[in-house]
Amino acid sequence: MSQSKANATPLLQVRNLKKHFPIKGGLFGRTVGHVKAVDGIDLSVHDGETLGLVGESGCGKSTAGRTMIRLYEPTAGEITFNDPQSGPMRLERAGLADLRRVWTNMQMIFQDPFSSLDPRMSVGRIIGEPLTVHGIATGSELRDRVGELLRRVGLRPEHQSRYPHAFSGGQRQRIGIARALALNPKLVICDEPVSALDVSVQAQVLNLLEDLQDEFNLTFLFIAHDLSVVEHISDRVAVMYVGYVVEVAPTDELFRNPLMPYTEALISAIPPPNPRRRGRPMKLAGEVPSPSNPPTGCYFHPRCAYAADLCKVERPPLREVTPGHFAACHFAEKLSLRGIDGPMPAIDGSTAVPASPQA
Amino acid sequence: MVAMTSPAAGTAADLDRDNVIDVRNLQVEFRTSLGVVRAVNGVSFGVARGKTLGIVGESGCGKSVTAFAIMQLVANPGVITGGEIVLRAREKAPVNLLTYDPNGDDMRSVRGRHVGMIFQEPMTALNPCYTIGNQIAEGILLHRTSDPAKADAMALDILTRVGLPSPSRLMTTYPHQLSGGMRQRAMIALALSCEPDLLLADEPTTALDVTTQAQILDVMRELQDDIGMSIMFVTHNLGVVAQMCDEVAVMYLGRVVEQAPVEELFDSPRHPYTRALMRSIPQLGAARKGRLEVIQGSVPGQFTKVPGCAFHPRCPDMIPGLCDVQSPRLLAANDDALVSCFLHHEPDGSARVSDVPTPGRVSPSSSSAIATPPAS
Repeated sequence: MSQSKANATPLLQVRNLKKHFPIKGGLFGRTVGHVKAVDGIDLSVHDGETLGLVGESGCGKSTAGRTMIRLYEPTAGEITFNDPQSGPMRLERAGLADLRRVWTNMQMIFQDPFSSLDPRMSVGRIIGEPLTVHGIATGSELRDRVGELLRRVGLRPEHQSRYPHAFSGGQRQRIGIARALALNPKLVICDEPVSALDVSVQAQVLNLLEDLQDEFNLTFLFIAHDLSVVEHISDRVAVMYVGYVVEVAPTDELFRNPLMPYTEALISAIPPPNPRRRGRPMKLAGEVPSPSNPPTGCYFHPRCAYAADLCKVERPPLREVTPGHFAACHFAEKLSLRGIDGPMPAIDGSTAVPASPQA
Repeated sequence: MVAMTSPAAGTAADLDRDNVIDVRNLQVEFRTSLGVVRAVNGVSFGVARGKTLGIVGESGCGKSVTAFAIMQLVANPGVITGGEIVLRAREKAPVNLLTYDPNGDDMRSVRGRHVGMIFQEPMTALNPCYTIGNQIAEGILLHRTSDPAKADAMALDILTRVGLPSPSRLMTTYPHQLSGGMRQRAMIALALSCEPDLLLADEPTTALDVTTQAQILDVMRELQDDIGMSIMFVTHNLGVVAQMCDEVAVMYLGRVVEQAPVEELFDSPRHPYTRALMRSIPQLGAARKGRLEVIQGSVPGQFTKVPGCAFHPRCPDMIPGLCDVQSPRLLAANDDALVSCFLHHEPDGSARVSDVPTPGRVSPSSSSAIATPPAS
């Protein structure tokens, strides 16, 4: 199975990627089981696109992102990064020297702007560290580059001498973005970059990410649980459920025409910001199963309204149902699932909503 | 009992209706070693009986502190320095809660019985040392019955009603054994066990996944119908507001800047802050890929005192010489909406006729970035 466009090699491609964490227990800390956080995913990220990765908490989306950049050792699978300079490289068995080289093109932005910045390092050192580590700039050149990066993310160059505690959450996230961009990477893995921020700050950071993407021709793997944010920023979206990618499609296609019942349930659970649309959301019964003890067959079948006997025994593979639209469901062709229907009226009433009689 | 003072201008009491609670000119200060933070700075609103009022605003606007102040649970160094909180509960004469000693028996008889509260983070709100059944029965024993067997039966009943699986087993379960969604349900059961008149819900779904959130909102709606209680729903999620609330109060820097019925607020937000807030959220299925509109600048630091209207430094429609000098009052905009903005009222309180931006549309000065299609 290949998700790549016919003529383009993806920038990052993973095949059957697995990451299992051992559960230690018993007398001598024996391994008594595994949390299968990521359990065989296939994904490709194309040059210049934004791929959204969504799912409920505990579905393995952050683990997937961290394993792809080799912050975690993969348990199994292939990770291929097509470095624009040095060609394809297999990351799952790369040594540290090779990884260092790849990391100049692959960077990460973290969720929590409070724990991802060292409180004892000045902002200048935080942002300049990648440049120092890779021996790219020193001295006044380093100061200039850091100042320029700060300016690019909407902060002032003179902020370099300050420490993270002097900044608000949104400003800290900008510092994290500047650090990720310091080496001028191709691919940035954004792990919930806006979920810790207030709505108005979230909008500022999302705009900044989109501007920087245009300016530096960046590719984003955008991990988030907020579907409206992912829908806003992504070109394609991948949905994960208990360590497994269950659906991948271009954003509009996925939201309007989902092929996997779990995606339908996720979409129906979003409360529409429109008081005139008060439908009872489709009830998704039960809870996410534990990745250490998943159900048999399709992991979603105990909660699925359409489950049949086949779903209880056989796990459906992720397959291309319609061109470019992949789903892991035995009945993807037969079900007709509901996505969002039509554009929702803008909530500030700027589209044709009957005006209130007064005022 | 306190004599009712005549309602001050600009409270929901003006809107002439039956409110379970009326908060008037509430002030809460935090006296820290670095200075005084006015977390709540003259907040006024009312919650209609059997209805849901949403309180929205960004972090630090004072929405949670307001909820804690109603319970008189503002933690040190916070002090309630002024205002009135009038509760009109069933089987109880109207009373200004601020006349009660926060540590006294009178206030204790209100908490849980007449006003219940659910918190954002159930793991820190539930006591890890007691079983769920224990914690629910405790409130029932205090307020409703002195028979432990009866209390246990009531606790079991409410656990069943919030839709928890195998409720009898849950009675003997500790909080850490439950998932986040189940804990939040258990906390809702705890808050509703004495069928309060008013439920304060402080961001009850913020820490939850969207699917769990949908389940919790369903439970809250059902129980509201059952018990006939009012809800004050503190949140920053406008989607949740649209689905849950009958009325919405928007807060900015410790003040209510607008209160209106939910449909009216979404159709034609009056205050520039409300308009900006609504436009800054990405919307599912919206005509996409445009830039999001952002509110310029950031919330001023907590020790800064902004002269005039607190929003004026960030406001696209700021009137120089007025908004940065005088502070607007919260005044009626029509029969059921209130707004605190000089775009809608003259400083003397009369309605402003000219220069009012068309409701729901942005005035020319602020629409430079986005083209708004005409209203019809």
